[in-house]
Amino acid sequence: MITTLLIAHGLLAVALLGAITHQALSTARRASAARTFVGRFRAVGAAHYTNAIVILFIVTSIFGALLYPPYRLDVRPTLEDLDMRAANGVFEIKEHLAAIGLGLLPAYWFFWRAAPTAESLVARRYLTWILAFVIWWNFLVGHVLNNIRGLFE
Amino acid sequence: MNGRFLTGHGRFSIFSILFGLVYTAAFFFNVAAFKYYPVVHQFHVADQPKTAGPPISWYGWIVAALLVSLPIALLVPRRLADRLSPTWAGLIPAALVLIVLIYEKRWFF
Repeated sequence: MITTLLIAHGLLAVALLGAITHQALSTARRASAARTFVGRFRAVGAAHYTNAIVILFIVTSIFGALLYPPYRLDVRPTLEDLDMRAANGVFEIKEHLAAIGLGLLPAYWFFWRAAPTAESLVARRYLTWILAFVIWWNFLVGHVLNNIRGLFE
Repeated sequence: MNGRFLTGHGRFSIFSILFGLVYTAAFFFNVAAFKYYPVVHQFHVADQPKTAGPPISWYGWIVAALLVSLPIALLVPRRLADRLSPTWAGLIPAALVLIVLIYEKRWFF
């Protein structure tokens, strides 16, 4: 059950990572002509990703919340026994960033739905890049912790 | 637009800003609405003896943030809320992320 949940959590995170990366890069600067890979990657209808990102973030967080107790009882004590303080630290940051990200979603959703004014575009860009940072951090930390025995033992 | 302020964003922005602030304060001062004890599969408002196993405060911090930020965001008059510059909705969460990273560097040194 835990393994299934962990795989589903990972797959949802991959979808979320792809969506937020498309959207964040689309806000970085005006999309160039879609001749290069990066240009095509950036030249997407970014606003259409918004609802999917909100739903994916919430569902991925719920799966993460369900996985927290096994982590707290099995993984964290192992990391403490192995004196891997940094590994526990990056997980602490992951949980805080996930919470801050959840709180950001209403404003993020609004500014992607609002008419693009100068001030709403600034807020939209900030919020999207914060969410992108949160999602990338949590994705990378999740995978490193999941594979930590193979990576560092 | 009403000519001066972007309309409708205020309550969303206030919720997002307050949620992050309250969550950060809750974990910094370790004030959770409740704690979950996974060994015994129980939620408790009060701290339990060590026999109950290690607690998880994260759920309680999130619920505390929600319980504070949601009513305030809904109760603030819309016209007043919309006077808040949208830029704050991005700047304050960005600052909170930075604060979290600085605070948690204690794990690495």
